[in-house]
Amino acid sequence: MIKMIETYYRILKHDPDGRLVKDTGLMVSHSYVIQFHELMRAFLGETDVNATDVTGAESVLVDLSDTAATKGTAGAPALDDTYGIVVGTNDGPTAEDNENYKLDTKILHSAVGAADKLNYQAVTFVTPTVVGPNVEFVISRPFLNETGVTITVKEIGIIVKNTIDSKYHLILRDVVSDEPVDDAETLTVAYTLRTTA
Amino acid sequence: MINMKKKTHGVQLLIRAVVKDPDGKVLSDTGQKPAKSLVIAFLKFVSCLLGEYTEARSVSDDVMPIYTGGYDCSETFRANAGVTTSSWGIVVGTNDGPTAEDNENFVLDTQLTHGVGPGNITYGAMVVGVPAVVGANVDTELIRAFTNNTGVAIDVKEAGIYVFSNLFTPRTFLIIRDVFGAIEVPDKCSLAIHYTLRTTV
Repeated sequence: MIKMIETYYRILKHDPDGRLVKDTGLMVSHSYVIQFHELMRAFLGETDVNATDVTGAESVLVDLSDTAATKGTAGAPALDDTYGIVVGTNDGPTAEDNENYKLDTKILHSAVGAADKLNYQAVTFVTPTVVGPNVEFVISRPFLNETGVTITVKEIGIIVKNTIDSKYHLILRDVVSDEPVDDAETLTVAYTLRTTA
Repeated sequence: MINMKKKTHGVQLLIRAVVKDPDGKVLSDTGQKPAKSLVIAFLKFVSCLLGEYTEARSVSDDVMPIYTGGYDCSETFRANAGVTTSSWGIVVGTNDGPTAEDNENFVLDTQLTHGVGPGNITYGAMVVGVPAVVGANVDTELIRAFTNNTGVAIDVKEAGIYVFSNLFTPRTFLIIRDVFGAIEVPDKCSLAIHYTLRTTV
């Protein structure tokens, strides 16, 4: 029997006609980082918490006097590469580590096909649902390559937006096998959180 | 088909139950064991937190918001109950029904409430630990001690966590429930339940 919050990522690629050209299937995600724990502690322990943000600075993760809407948000809209599911090229490279606080080399957003950038679409959620013996919650985001050349994705993760001052904290990072995204292809990253009684 | 290139990871949940006599001598210690039954309300909270409003079935058996953006963070998903509070935090019970673990459990089967009479146990304060890197892991520990002052032994057969959300209508929600073999807590002895959230890169 499985006794944990299983976490998986899945990477799909579609060609310009919408045809599926790659599907990794569910891959085991490793690399929840310490900021995820701090977020849980803030709520469960009803306490203000600071944590290392994506700039490397200690900043407010949760201020109890702020409204809940300002905390832990991953629901980034289209065009916004500052939070939600993000992807990168891991040029460093940086290995997965419990104390990672940012992607090694995040790919930024461009809606006009600027070099080395992807067109970030909106993050979407599927409400937790009982699926057979499991409960699953899925978060996904598509990225469109309009640069004219191939971009290879080597790391993915989730950044959440916090506080009324918009601080950004990494909660999950995975270094993945090279995923070349050809011009005009769309890469979609989906994270599945699964529990089983 | 799941591709497991490395050993399985995610968020592990562990449970440990320690019984001590009035002098502090350990009578039994389960050690850390994998916990079961993170129930649907937990993922509903995570989904709300990350970006989507939703509701969950409360301990009162009604469907209510578990997290609402317009309320202060201090009013949402609290587990840090104080002494004598048996309505939230880590809770224990006798599972008299019995009720099996299920993804959609929303309440303990037979909760022991705070007190010194039949069906009671004395609730201590919750401790929510600071996340720490421990070897290859990051651990966050939640602990609560209970003392049996009823005059007779109690067999504890279930444990879980109720979180309190003080929203439109205050409600508590079950997020974790474990059923296990009877742990005897003799009169005047204490039981400590430790839940550990663990992640490993």
